[in-house]
Amino acid sequence: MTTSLHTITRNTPVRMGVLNLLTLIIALCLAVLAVLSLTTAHRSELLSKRQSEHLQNVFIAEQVGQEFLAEVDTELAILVAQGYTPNTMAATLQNIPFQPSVHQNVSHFIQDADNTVTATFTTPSNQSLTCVLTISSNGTYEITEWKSVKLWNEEVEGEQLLRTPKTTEIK
Amino acid sequence: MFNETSTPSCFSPPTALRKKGATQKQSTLIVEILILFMCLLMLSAVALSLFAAAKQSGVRTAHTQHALSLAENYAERFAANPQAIQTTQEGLYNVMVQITPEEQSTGILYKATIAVLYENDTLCTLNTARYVSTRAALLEEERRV
Repeated sequence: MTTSLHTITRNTPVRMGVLNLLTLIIALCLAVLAVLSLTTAHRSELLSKRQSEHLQNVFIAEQVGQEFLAEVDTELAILVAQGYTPNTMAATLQNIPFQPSVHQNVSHFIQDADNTVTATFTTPSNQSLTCVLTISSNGTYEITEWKSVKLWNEEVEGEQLLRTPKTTEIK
Repeated sequence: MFNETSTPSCFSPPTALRKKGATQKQSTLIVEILILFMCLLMLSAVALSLFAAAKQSGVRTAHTQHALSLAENYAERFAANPQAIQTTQEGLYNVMVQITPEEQSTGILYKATIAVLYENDTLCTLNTARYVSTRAALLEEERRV
């Protein structure tokens, strides 16, 4: 009799019951949803950090552009007093020793054509500001173009949409 | 197997043994349920902590986004008129504005630092500038006269 009971209990298979199945499904759903929500939230946070970084760079370029305007205005006042024409003023402005006061690492390129001066400022993160100034005969200038663009560089590794932000956090 | 109508044999257990087997099965089921419940509880704890982290991250993101749009709005207003903005409380956010005018020979270069704070935590800071030419304004005035 004892042998028969042993046989019964030993041979009872461990089967996947409804309860087990339900628990497994609940566990899987919970795990998947938790991971999905966490990754989505994390990516949104990274995206907002990138947006912050981008906005910072836009205004860095803006600041450098405004400093350039101040420099140009000062220079124009001197040149008009010396009797320069708009064309010669534009040509002289191409060689002004402009240096951004705060953001030293912003590169700039100035060129002239007729009575216009085109200046391009590029931040290290490839945010570029192009401003075109038209010089008038009385030594004033008119802003004919003020365009801020993000330069695309496919070779840079960090240009993917969801890249990890740089270690230096910009606040 | 344990059919009452079937002929009793040496292999069919008596009623006492059957009852003992059934009780054992029941206790096995209870133990199984308890183990499952424990597993579920542990998994829920882990999942809930993940959900909480996701929620916190989402709230942080929302605050940062709002702060960014506030800072951008203030910077645009500053670009339109350098003297139009000042430190203010925008709902739960504190917008700190610091403007430094730099006198030039031909105008004023206003430099501004706009910081948006939420509960004393700086969410974003923007530095911008605006040049106002007094020489150009004078020349324009002369031209009109």
